[in-house]
Amino acid sequence: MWVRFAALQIARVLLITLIAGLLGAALVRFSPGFDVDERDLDTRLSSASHAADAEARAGERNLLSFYGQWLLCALHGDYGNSRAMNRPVGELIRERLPLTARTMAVGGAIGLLAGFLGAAAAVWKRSRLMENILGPGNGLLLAAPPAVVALLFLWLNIDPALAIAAAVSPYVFRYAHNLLRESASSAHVVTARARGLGEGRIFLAHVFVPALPQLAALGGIVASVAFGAAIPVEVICDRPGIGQLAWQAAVARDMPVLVAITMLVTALILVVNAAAEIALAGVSTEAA
Amino acid sequence: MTAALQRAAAGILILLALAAVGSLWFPVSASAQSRNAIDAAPSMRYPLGTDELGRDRLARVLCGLRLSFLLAPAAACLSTALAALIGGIAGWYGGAIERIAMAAADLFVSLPWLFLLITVRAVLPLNVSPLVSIGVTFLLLGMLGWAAPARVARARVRAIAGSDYFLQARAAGTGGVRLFLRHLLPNLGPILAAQFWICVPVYIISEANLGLLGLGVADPLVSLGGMVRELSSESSLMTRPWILAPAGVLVMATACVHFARLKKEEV
Repeated sequence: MWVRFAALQIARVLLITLIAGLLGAALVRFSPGFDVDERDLDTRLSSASHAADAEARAGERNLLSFYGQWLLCALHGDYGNSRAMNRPVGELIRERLPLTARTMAVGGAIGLLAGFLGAAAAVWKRSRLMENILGPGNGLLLAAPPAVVALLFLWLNIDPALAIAAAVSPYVFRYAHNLLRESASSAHVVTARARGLGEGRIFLAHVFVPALPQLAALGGIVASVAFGAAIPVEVICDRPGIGQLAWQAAVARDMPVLVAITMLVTALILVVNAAAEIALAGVSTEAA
Repeated sequence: MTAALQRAAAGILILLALAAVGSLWFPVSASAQSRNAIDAAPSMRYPLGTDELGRDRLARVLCGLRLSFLLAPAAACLSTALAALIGGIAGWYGGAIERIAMAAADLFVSLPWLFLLITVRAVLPLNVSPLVSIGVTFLLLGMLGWAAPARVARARVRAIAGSDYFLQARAAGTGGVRLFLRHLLPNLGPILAAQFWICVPVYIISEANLGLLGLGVADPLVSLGGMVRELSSESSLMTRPWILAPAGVLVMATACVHFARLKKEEV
């Protein structure tokens, strides 16, 4: 049963990633200037050369065949050439991925920890004061655009990864707080409290552990929010990562780069989500 | 505390909205330049100083606020309507239609919002007139933000379609249109209203992010995002702290929308 569920999840990830690629390819195909080549403007070429170029590009006009060709090349590690940077897209991504991965990992981990600890403290202590401080504080963080936070951190010489943490933590806090509070108000927790168990033990054994599988779903939220925040953070702090590359590609309308990043990001987030769901299903099967 | 916070947030929002509307009769235009007051510090005449072109920052903040308060809800309306349509059809018909609609929603939700926005924005012309750039920016926000509300709408439609009163209405021979108009739509209203209010602050922030990245509303039209862009040319926070005012107003307006819609148990 669990294996079937895992296989279905993997198939779903593959299918949605392929659809994301198809949508990306559709954007490339229908973007303005798709059918224009700078060789068309070269007056040294004869009309026969121009006609040969046009014929060579004609095959790309059909969206499905264009996507099929692109996918075939992508499977061989060739994601095409960046129009703006005149370099292979794969090379650009390989060069910039480590920096973004590091920033996202550090920022995501700090944001996850801060959001979770805040939510745990609010639920564990059951203090009105703490809820009244953490709740509005979280609301203010949610209202601050990551680009503005990145600017402030740049002025204050604070590591840009913390700007990503500031973007991630309010989402984690809200999700974890709702989940832990729901878990804390369940009947078995009320019974445990009535039997005189200590608050620490109640929180760890009866609130946190039962909510743990659902907390795994935070992985997808963290990955998505962290990458979304990485774009303005890398642009503003001038860090040569994937976020900055995505922005440069958007400004220069460099669609091959955008398609490759779309597929990469979709696959990353779907894999994290699927891993959480498979783990959740595994725990449920074991419990049953 | 929650009630007090909600009241305060609603009060500030009303004041900001009044100021934004009142600025239509403001004596200084947002685009009027004063060549004698370039980059001026705050004064009685210019309470928030002027920018590098000698334009009154307060007039521009109020103008940007008006744009955000007008167009973010309009974009949220579009998203909510699309969500009701797609989520409603998916929940109503079920089967393959539901699976396809939810796969599309999964795809939209799994992609980081800002990345999705800049990718689609890249396909559209960047060198357009300012008015078109406003339309493009907020239309994009409205058209791309349907996925998360659609999932909620679909779940609600499924719940309503499986409820006792709905089954009874069907058993009594109520037709499809009447079922939809009398029993489904009124019960979907509160959920859609909540989704609308969730979208509004998200769109204000997204416009600000796009503006700061140079992909939002184009000059000379004013938006809060475009004004926040002014900050990126500053090297220090201490030399001219008053230029932070647009960012402060942006965060305050967004936070107030967020707090004003909170339920008691949600803070």
